[in-house]
Amino acid sequence: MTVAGIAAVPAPPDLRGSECGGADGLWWRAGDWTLDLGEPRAGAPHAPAHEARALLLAARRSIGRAWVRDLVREHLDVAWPGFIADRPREKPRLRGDHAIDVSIAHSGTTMLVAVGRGALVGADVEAAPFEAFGRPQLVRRMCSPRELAVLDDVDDGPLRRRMVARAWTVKEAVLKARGVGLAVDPRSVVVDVEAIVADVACRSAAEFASRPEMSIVRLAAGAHTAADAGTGAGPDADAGPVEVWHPQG
Amino acid sequence: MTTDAPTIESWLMGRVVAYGKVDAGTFDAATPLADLGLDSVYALTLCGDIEDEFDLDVDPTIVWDYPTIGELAEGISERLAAA
Repeated sequence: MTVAGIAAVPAPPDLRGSECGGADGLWWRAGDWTLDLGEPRAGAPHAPAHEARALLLAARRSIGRAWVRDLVREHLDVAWPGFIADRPREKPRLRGDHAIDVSIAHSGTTMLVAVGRGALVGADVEAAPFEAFGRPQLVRRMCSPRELAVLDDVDDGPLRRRMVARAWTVKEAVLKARGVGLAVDPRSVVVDVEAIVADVACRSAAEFASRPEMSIVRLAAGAHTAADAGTGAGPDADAGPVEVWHPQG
Repeated sequence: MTTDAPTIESWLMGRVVAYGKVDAGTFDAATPLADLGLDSVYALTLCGDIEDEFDLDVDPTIVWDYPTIGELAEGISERLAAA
């Protein structure tokens, strides 16, 4: 699958510490999810580290689902159907109206959720400073040989790591939209690295030093069937156009 | 190159700490990897690290098949012994 279109969509002003946006039936919210945390329970600060970590992960999950609920209610004009019970390693899905697709992503304190109707939706976010994206062990496992060749021409540093991070968020969002995650090799999702390099390279590192990288993709609803459901097409198949947005790009 | 599970387990714990998601001493080999914040990026990085350290090609789904550091160490050890 090749992801060609890289479109930046301006986001509207802040809303409760986060940004909401939309484009032609696709809606998203991005922001600091920790602002939605309630007051810590008495004694919680003294909980063992692993218990505190588990509580925080559970809270993050609840907040992400609440953001999805709010977007669905506000923009898709339907009664909130609720989530289907968790299925490990599967994409979260809503009850009833199967035309609505949702995706939830988080990195550090940043969360990005997206909802849409009649299409597959995938979202991913990576928080700065993108240290992981300077690791060759990761870059060679996520990029195709052609993508690596393009990135090899860029000096290592904050901007290159941002380029790699943006490429990753597109790949991950596509895999999440298809509901396959890392069961499909991300190297098979080919992104337009030249466009990413050109867009990031023309900016100064200070211009968006702390800004996370976010991508939201929308695929035709049958895309996952052709690519992943044993039709023989394989993950490299071009399963139709992929639309890409970078909410804070 | 070592193939014994305890040594691999120790190496894996070092990698998890190096990724900066959790502090040393706040987890053990039985802690689920999911509880350590090991997301897709770090699952893929870990695959690359395993490849470099043990010359063993693994898919990132290995962290689903072996959901704790202890189980993952056993799994790597078995694969190395069979190689």
